Amino acid sequence: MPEYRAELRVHLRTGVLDPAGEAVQASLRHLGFAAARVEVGKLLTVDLTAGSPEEAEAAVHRMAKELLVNPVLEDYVLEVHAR
Amino acid sequence: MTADVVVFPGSNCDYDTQEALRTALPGAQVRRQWHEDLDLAHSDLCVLPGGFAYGDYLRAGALAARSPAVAAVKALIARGGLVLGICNGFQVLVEAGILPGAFQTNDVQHFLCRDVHLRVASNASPFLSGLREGAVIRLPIAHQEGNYRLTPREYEELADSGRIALQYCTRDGRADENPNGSFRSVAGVLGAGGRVLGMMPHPERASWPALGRADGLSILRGAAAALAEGEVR
Repeated sequence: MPEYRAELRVHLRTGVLDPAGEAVQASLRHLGFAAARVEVGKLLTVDLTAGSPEEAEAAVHRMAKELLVNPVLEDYVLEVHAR
Repeated sequence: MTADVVVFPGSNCDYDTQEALRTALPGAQVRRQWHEDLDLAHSDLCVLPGGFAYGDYLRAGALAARSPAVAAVKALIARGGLVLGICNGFQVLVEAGILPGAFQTNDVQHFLCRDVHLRVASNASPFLSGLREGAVIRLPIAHQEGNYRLTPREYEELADSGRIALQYCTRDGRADENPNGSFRSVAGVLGAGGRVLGMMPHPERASWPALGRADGLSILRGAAAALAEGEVR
């Protein structure tokens, strides 16, 4: 079975307060950097085997739904590459 | 009467909770059980204690909420048992979908470890039956991710059905106190007709009259009273 690498970029949904992002932004400004906004997200890399890229993508969407992403607060972007 | 404290990898309030339960429930069998071997078949009350289950990896409570233990907890709820989630245990109950909402980092962006005052918004629960609505109690909090998020609509639904249990307040019960940014200062909510309570403050850390703090005991004793009256099957 072909091997795939899925990269899941998890970020807070628009409008959700991001205390970590605000803290990093404040520190950047402290250092003199102009940062209008900073968002702290997560990158999850999942290696898996699947019959096709579509199957791999569908599997990772299920993982996101069941565990990896909290839909109340978070959203995500998924990219799947053949390895 | 049997009460069980679930131990996840990273739980750290399990011994304190066990001791507090022994004080609150004289004569009860109070066990600590490793989450993988959790057997609640003879349990009346299950407590998910504070700590950092699975290191809070991914999201606080997220990995523990997928433990097989959660199925046992759900089965206990289904047969009328009582479930208390304290701090990290509350986060686990929310991640497991047993209670609504979600948790974020405190709006003050740091760990909070201090006493807070709480207003009993609803006492429609065995845990809170010993307290009158509007009463102000004092309990310690110790958390980084206690910023409890509800949508306004979820809040209204919970409030209308008496499921907002505890709200942060001032010493004299005014609403303008909110240590962590929680929506409408909510510190605890009820589920399953009041038989499930999730709360960020730590009742077990305020269960020692000799140390001058015993407000937590009234919450644990409320469970004892309900169990003694046979409200739990």
